[in-house]
Amino acid sequence: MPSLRQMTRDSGYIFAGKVTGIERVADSLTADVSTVRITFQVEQGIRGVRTGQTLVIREWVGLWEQGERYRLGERVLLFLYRPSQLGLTSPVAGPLGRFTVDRNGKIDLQPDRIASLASDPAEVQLRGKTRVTRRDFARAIRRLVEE
Amino acid sequence: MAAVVTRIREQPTRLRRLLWLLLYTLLAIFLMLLLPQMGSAGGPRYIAGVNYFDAGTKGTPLTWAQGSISYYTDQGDLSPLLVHAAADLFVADAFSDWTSIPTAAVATTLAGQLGEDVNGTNVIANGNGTFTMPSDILPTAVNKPVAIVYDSDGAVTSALLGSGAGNTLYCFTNSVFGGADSLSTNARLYALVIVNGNCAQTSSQLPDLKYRMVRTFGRVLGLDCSQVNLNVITRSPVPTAADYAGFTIMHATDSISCVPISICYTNPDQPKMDDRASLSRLYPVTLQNQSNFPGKQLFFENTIRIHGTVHFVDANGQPAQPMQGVNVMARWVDPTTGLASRAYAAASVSGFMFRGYAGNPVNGPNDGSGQPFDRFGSDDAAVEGTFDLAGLEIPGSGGSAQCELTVEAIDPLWSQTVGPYGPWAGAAFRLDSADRSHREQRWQSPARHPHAGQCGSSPGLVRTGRLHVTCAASDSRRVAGRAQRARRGDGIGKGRLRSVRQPKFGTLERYR
Repeated sequence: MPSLRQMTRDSGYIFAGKVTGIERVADSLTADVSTVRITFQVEQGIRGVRTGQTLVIREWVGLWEQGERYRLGERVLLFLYRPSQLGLTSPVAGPLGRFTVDRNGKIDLQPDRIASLASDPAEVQLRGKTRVTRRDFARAIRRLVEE
Repeated sequence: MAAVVTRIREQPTRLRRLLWLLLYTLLAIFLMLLLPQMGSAGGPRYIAGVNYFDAGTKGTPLTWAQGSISYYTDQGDLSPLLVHAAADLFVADAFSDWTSIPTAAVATTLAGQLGEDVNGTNVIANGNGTFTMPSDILPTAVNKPVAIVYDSDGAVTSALLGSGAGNTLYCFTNSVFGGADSLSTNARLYALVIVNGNCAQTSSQLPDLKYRMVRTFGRVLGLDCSQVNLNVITRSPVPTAADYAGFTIMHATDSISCVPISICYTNPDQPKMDDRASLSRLYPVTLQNQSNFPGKQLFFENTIRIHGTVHFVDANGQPAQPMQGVNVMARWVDPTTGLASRAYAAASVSGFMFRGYAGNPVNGPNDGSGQPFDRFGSDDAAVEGTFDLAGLEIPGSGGSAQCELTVEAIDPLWSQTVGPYGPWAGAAFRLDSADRSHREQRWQSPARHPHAGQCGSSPGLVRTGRLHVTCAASDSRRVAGRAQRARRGDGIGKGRLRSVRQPKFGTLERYR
């Protein structure tokens, strides 16, 4: 399984944000495949995006149909792959690259993820915690990037 | 946990009744505003709804016509280890895990090859927000209803999921993906499956690849995720061999520590009773189609069906609003020990056929992606809160068996995609209680299925959290669960039904 360090390395965007728009880009020709355009208001930019910025990503509609979905107003922290040559992206390592942000702005570190996070010695600030602030999470990620 | 709701022990006062009425009124308003689209269920993944599908299909699961599935594979190799012919055999073997289920009228055929080797050079961006893939793997390719892409170098995976997604490091989540990519208006499925060749480089990777392929094929066949013996993942309580034997392959997610998968499960790719029952419910072997499936057994004649409705209970103890999103469990009761089996178990999510939120004047009729809310799930009130546990097997040679029914919450962490209330869907129920020790639950069996044979003793009430039903093969028993919550701590609000503790009921009582 990828460690947090590896997930960070393979991420084009890491941020906590709020979903402000979802739009299905309809097929324009029969040979085309639809995508879903998702807009985020970035509340804590960590990598590849700045706090306060609006980020628009596109996801393959097949992935959306599989359940990799968002809803308006939802707050998440995402590790997203760098967009492909098709301009598509999705959470790194699927559900592992997607964290829930609660109404207090804290990131929910689910039990199995804690074990994964603890495997990386650089993640002192996250180890053993079930919820962390966005700022603490961002600090830990930046430390990984710098090392 | 087994109870959904509790029963008020004391006689309700007039004021309390008024408060309950107010609460339920507010709840009803809340649900009307926030209840989500019913997109799938703990059993069938898709139920045809009011909008989009043909009128005559409303309320029916989306399946493959006559249970016959023709699939087409990529012209290329999957990997040096699984060159084209070997990859085809690997795929056929994974399909056979499902098609060999004796009561499921389903068969797959390798009908031919795709028109090309699908790879990173023929999946092309258009620059207008869309991209082009070979025409025979598009949703419009109805003449090749299931396309299986051998993505030998992970390039297609990376193109669709993001740069680097096809790397070996991400095989846990990206080794096999896809599923139904088109739903015809006559409630039929079409599918695209992509297999990442980077996850088939060594023989040690193949068991994991097959496991994930079988799960993906389950979705292709129209199955949703399910929740049975979740303690195999949570380890609370510590699972026994029987827990593993009954642990559904269509569980929602795996612990990230399960690499390779064999360290977590034995025979991970083998469908269990819940899987066998779920698939057979979608594709039952009947007298009409048995000749098309030589060697298979009649479904209804060789298994038990228990179905019914879960209700809230009003202040007077009478059934009220049907309760959606509850995991109803049936377990065979071992006659020698009197204990409910962990291996012979199946589940159905209440309300799996019913739609929830269908839009409103404020939020409009469509979801965020422009799809109508009411395209999935029936609007027939008769199916609200219903569950269906057909396909319960009778171990051994006995012609009858006793089953135990319980209800439990859908686990919000490990079963997020089980049933119609996925995490993306919005609000459903939540039942959190610090004290569940006084919960009781009522089950009633007021009616029988039209095809029912004699099914144990006469209807009655059981005032425990578990109902035992004695049935013979081919019997069909209809039961109605009634439940009620009593404590203020059992807050109903935004979220999902939460309660994953073990049942705290008193002693079991026999159904009588």
